Amino acid sequence: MNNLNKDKFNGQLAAARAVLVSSGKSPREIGKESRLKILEWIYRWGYTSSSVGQLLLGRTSGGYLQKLSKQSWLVPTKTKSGVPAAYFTLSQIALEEAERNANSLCKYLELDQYKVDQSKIRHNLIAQTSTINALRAGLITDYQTERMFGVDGDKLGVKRPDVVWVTSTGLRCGIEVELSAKWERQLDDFVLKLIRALKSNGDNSSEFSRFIIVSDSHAIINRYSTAMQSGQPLSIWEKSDRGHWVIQKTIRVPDWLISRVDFQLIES
Amino acid sequence: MRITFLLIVLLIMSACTSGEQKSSEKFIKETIDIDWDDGIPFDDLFHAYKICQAHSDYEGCNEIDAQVTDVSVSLKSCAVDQRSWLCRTVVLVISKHPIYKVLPDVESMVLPSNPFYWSLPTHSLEAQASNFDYRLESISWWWGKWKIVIFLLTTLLLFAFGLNHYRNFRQKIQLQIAQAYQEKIALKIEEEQLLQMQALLARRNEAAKLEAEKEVELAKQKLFEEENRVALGIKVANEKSEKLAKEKAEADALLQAVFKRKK
Repeated sequence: MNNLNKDKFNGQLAAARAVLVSSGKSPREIGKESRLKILEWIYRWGYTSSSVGQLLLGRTSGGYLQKLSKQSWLVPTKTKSGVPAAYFTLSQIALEEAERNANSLCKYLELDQYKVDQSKIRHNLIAQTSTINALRAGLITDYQTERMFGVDGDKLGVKRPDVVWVTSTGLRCGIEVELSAKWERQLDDFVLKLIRALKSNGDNSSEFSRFIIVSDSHAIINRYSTAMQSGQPLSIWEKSDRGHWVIQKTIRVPDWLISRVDFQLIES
Repeated sequence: MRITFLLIVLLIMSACTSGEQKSSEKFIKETIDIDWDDGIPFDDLFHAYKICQAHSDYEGCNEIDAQVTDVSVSLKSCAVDQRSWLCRTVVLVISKHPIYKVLPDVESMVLPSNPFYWSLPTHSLEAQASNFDYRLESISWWWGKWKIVIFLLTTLLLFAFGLNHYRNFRQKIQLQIAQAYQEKIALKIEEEQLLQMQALLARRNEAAKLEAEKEVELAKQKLFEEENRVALGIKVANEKSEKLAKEKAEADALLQAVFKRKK
């Protein structure tokens, strides 16, 4: 039995060495590359989890983010819910390292790890996991997180998705993870911003090619799908002089909207 | 007795005288009343004149004197101018009659020598004028005197009339020619105007035709542009649709890969 395990371990080691040889990189270089990959990811998303980091690096075993934490690159923080057990943010030196290697800068507010809104951790991690899957499938060439729009400048009244996937053909898909239902003004506002984001500009181009709404709830999917059908009434809200939200006018949902929005139900 | 005789004589004488006067006055009156148109009673007139010479106070003597004077003036006047048969007869008759010797000396009067008179100057001449065709003779004299002038005047008048007529005729002809010329010019102008109108109409027709052709061309062009626009719209819509389909397919592939979507 021990001989069998030893043979198996030797086999894996041999396979790893073969990969290293074939990549033409030294173990140190591969380690640095992995570290930068994690740092860049967290720099873009704000934080991540151990399992997401494992998925990102394509490793079968966990513990790499814990290792980076011990090397003071990352700051682990336990979650209140315990799922995941902890989230990892950048330390000061990691932030500096990430900014040094970043193509574009964005605000990183999570140096204070308690600024993370823990109610949105699951929402954010679903977006991260989906993005990694898309990257690994080779179907997208780039992505932009919500905070990266802030750097480029946000358009007033236009929907900022959780992440934008950019494909090799130039397709810009906005991914919106919706785990809790929106009602009345918030739903109308969501649909209106979606219309504005997808609506063609004067040069026949639009901010986004399509939107994918991801949810783990059938009801939310149905509700959103119904609200975006052609001709559905859509109220436009504004604040009154007394500071209350009131309906300014009601318009109809354009017929093209539903053909440019996909709905994806995911398992909980 | 003597006185009585005288008275009787006087009375008889008076009665005789009164009877003679009355008969004389009667005679005088009858002489005066004779119409001279049937002939002048020279004998009665002479006798009456004699009576009046003796008894100038008789009634009608003044008229007798006037008639004798009239005869005298007639004779005197005819003696001066004996062209007329009337005057020659008067002179011949009166000069052989006893009255000639008692005719008073008077001034002659000029007798009319043309037919344009109302009456002759004396009653005796006037009464006999028609019997001796004095007016016809006066016409003859007047004609002999004035015929050349009249002829000349008539000729002149005729000439003037002819000239006037000729002028009128000429003017009329000239007017007709002028009118004909004017009509010809008017006709020519009218023809020119007609031609101009026809040319204008032709030009307008041509312009309208060109305009219509232009409009048709424009309509064709618009139709062509509209067709192109529609075709372009269809093409753009198709492209959009194709693009949308491609994007949809790409998104489906993406979702399939990322979320292991089950179709």
